[in-house]
Amino acid sequence: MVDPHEFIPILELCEQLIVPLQGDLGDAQADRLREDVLSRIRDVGASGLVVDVSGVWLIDSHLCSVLASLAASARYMGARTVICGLSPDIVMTLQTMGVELQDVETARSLEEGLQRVGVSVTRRGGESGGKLPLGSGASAQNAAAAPGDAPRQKVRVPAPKKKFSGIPMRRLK
Amino acid sequence: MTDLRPSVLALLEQHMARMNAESALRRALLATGGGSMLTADRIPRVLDELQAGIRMFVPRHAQDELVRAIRALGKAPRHSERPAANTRQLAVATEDDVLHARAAARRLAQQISSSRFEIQKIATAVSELARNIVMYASGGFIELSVETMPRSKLVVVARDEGPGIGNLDEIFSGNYRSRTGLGKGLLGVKRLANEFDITTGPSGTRIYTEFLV
Repeated sequence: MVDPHEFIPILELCEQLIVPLQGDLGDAQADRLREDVLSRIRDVGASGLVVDVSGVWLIDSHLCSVLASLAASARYMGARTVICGLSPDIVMTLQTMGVELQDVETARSLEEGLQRVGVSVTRRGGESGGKLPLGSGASAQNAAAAPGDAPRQKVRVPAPKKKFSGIPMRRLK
Repeated sequence: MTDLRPSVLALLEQHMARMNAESALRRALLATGGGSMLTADRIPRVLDELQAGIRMFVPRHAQDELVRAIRALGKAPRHSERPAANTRQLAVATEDDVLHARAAARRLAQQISSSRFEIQKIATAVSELARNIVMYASGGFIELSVETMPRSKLVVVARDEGPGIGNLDEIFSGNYRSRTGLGKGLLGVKRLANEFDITTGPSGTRIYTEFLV
């Protein structure tokens, strides 16, 4: 079920890293991912890592500790980790279990995750008169920087499709 | 009439070596007369004779549990105690087995529940139980079954012959802080399930859980 030869891609965006997790994450894969992430942090000089788990259907206490461990390793290299894409079912299950994502930040969307590591996304004006259709991202360029946010870099990308970002979530401490 | 010896032995063996279980049971049967077949009606008296052996070999916290389980064998079998004909038994020994078991649990839950949260809880609980088996018991079984009486529920039983879990009180107090995941996962399962029953000892562990759907 888990093919140890399947590698997990690490995407770069504005010198930050994005890791899209899919399906199940085996222990061997997780170890390899950590190695790869740490190398990329070093090579790219990334100060932030966004792990998108929207492709992961189940998160148990074990995966929580794997993610926490990944975040801890990244922190050693001076990078901040934000996890985004947790589904409401997963969040409620973890809360019911009393499992905590120790010392790991979470965000409600990829966009918010990127914002936290200093990347904000704007939409090229034009079709809709320059209006930005999305939630937190839309006001990114106008919002005051929150303390602790990295200096903002702007990236111009074509407007992504509107995404229902679901239930607003508190940070899981 | 069914011979309940294998069932009683299985229960005893969760807490003591097979040799001790067999000799204790044999002694109890001899002491109560009536031949070597252990029928349900003999259970109460046989249980009396077994008490001494149980007190000697079984850890204190597990004694009541064990006595209750043996006594229950002597009653008309409760629906939830008898392995249902539609029980799916999955052997669990590797990480892949954990993934397989939780996927199977999810599929089964999807057949009887339309609540995504319930399905998620069941699959996650199975993942925790299966992972504990792999990490701490070097192999065991996850049994999945659906029951409809008196209420619709999915029953998950995790069995292994590992070294047992010694500090249940500590784990369930919620204050357990450990480098390993065992306590956290186990307490998590207890909180997810509607019913949770654990019997554990040096010769193995059995965790019985129910999820109402």
